[in-house]
Amino acid sequence: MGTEITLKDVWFHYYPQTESRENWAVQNVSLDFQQGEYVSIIGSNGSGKSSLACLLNGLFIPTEGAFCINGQPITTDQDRWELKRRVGMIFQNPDNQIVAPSVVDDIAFGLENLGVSREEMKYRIPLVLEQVGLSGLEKKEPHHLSGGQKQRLAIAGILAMQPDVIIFDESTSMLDPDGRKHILRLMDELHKSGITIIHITHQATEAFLAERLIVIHQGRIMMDQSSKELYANATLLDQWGLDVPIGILLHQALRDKGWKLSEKMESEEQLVSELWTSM
Amino acid sequence: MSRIVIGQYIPGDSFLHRLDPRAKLLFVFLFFFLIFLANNISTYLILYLFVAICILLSQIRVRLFLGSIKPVLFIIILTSILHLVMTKGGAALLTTPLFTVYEEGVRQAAFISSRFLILVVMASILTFTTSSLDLTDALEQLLEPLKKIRVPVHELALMMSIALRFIPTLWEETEKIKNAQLARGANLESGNIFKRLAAYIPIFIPLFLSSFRRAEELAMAMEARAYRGGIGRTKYRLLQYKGKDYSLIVIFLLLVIMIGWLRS
Amino acid sequence: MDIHVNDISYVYQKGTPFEEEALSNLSLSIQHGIIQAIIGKTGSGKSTLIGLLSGLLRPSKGSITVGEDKVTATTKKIPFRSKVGVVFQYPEHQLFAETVYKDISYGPTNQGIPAEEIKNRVYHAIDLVGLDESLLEKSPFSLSGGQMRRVALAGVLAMEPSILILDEPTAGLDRIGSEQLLSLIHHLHQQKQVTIILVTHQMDEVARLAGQVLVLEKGQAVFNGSPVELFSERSRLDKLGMEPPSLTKLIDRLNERIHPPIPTSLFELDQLVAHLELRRKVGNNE
Repeated sequence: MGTEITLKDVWFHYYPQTESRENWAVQNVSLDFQQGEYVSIIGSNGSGKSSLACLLNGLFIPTEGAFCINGQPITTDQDRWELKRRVGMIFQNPDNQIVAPSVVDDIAFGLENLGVSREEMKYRIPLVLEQVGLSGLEKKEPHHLSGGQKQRLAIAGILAMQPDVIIFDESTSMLDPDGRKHILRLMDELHKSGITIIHITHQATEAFLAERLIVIHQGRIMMDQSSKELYANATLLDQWGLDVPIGILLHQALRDKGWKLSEKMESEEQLVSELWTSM
Repeated sequence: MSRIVIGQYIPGDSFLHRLDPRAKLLFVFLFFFLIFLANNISTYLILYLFVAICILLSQIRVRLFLGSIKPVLFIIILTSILHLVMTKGGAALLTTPLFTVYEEGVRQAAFISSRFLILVVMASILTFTTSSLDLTDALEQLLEPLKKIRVPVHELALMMSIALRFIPTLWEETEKIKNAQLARGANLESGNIFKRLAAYIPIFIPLFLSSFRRAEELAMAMEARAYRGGIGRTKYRLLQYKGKDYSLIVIFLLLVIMIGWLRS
Repeated sequence: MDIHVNDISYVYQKGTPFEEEALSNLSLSIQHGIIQAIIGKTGSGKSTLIGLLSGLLRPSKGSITVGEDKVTATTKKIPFRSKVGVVFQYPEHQLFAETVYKDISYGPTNQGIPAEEIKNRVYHAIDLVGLDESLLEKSPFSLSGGQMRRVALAGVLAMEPSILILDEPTAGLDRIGSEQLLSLIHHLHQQKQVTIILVTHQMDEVARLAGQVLVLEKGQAVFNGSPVELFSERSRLDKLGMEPPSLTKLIDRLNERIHPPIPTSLFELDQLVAHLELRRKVGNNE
């Protein structure tokens, strides 16, 4: 039946007593994530996007407002613990989420916490290693892996727990281009296999790979649109300190020069074909 | 990484590599007591012979063992010299205005340095052929009975395993910070002890800060993977004694008997 | 102050089972005052080259000459260390002092510069990196990430190096932070005429700033030339497993339809717009 995550009128701050409400990390956010969606949440540094991520898997508890899974409010510690199996999270720094001194043992860590039997672990571990492309590195020590491999190991550790949702909190930002590409491809594959992907990032180019984009700025949701809609409105991204895709910049510059192009561009393809006709 | 670190695991597939880590750990532990039973040339020869066989069985190059002796070489030489000049007894072999070397001194010096050498090499054999993870596991399982008297064995073992996991990471980090401060002209090599300690402050502070940051992030990541202490946890790694592990008992008894018989 | 790297190799942990050659037979000349980019995948030897150029490592073989100073495997004290400033990756993680002022003055103090001069340099450096003087008495740990990074940069600039090595200077910064830092680098280069060695994964940065670019692969130089030369030949980029800058990618897409193709030597949006304008006018006249 999957996992539907709902935030309703959520406000959050670490120190709600000492900070005035307009500075809270998350302000009046209502969002809903259906099973199988591929969503990007974009915002610049300090926009509140990481706090939002931690609210979605119960690591943080809303200061105000409701957090529901499939319509059921999550309130107790037991609820939140059970949620960890369904909603996994990959963090930014690949180094600081690997617990065990070898690849297989690290994947086993989450399963051990869930009380999964040894036989089941032996069955699942090779499967997830294969899935993230780390087969053959079972006995490697984490510090001998590249950044991208470490991040894939972290993903394998989550996948072994068979989650419905995976949140990637800036998980590509510390990787080199190869590592980054690999993780993005993996996100796409996981999405196709039915897992909900929530990708938190400050990079517009990566964000536009998702089907749905949510822009967060100073703790508030500014936009929540399909990636096509948002692409057409992408000039707006600039005011929130985000990258505007280069195709949109070109489109705007040419229109300013009097080129007859559609007012809204939904994709780079459209721009290319319209340019071609107008030349 | 700097020069070879003592206690570094050298991957391999020798007889010694394949032994159960608990068996190895217990054996080496008991062997240390055995060393102190040796008290004459023949008993020491037996120990040396045994260590030599172990080195051969480990299929690890002798040079690496020499490397592990290096850091303690100074202590070995120092204690040998002390014994050489301080111990009296037997015939005088060499007389100088300052000290006299007696036969007994030479014997003592040879025995003491042998003891050190055998100890260090044996410990290296254990760590060279056993991954630190296996060692942690072995320790956890050997200490299991202590759970009954409320020693948090699981937590201690997890801490140790996390420590093992992060030692190389922190080591790299230290090197990075050190390089950064060296590039800013830090002088770590001259001056008296206080000056040198002070010179290390710009390295220690960032290292502490980053370790705290790591610890915090790791705690979050562990929580995100449903960690909540030892409750209802299963275990992936399973240690199992096999036939060859029991053979260690026989080998150990054999050594005890031979040394007991030959010692004076 | 020119740099000449002459046929150097560097071997880590020589004589142990972990022996590894990080650089082999590398030669490189960097003229004074240019921006030299160094790109390559993780493990290609970039960090080792930084270590060698900054005088933290000695080559196992070959020599490095910076200005008049030459370093080989047997050189005891590396003479050019104080002339080369290095801003390592995530430099904000190396801040340590109670105040920004003290942190920036650490380098010049180590250089043995008189107190009065240090004060001038600290004020000058904080100004160069575009931070307010009022921050000098604050704790560096109370600043934002982007500000901390600029403090770290100021700490290196206060040593007045003639060569500045920047290792992934924009890593982890958002767009505003990156842009500020890049224009800062550009400005520094223009104003101070220092040689800048920029190590980066960001091809947009290479295209925008670099005069010359070195590509390392498995410890060897596989390309050294201008960014135009590097990015205009797509097959070579593919072979090196490298992405072109984002504008070049867009031009590539346009060229799938548009003939004759738009030159890939355009690195600025304005240039592309001007080119298209010209083509349209020519097209309309025909």
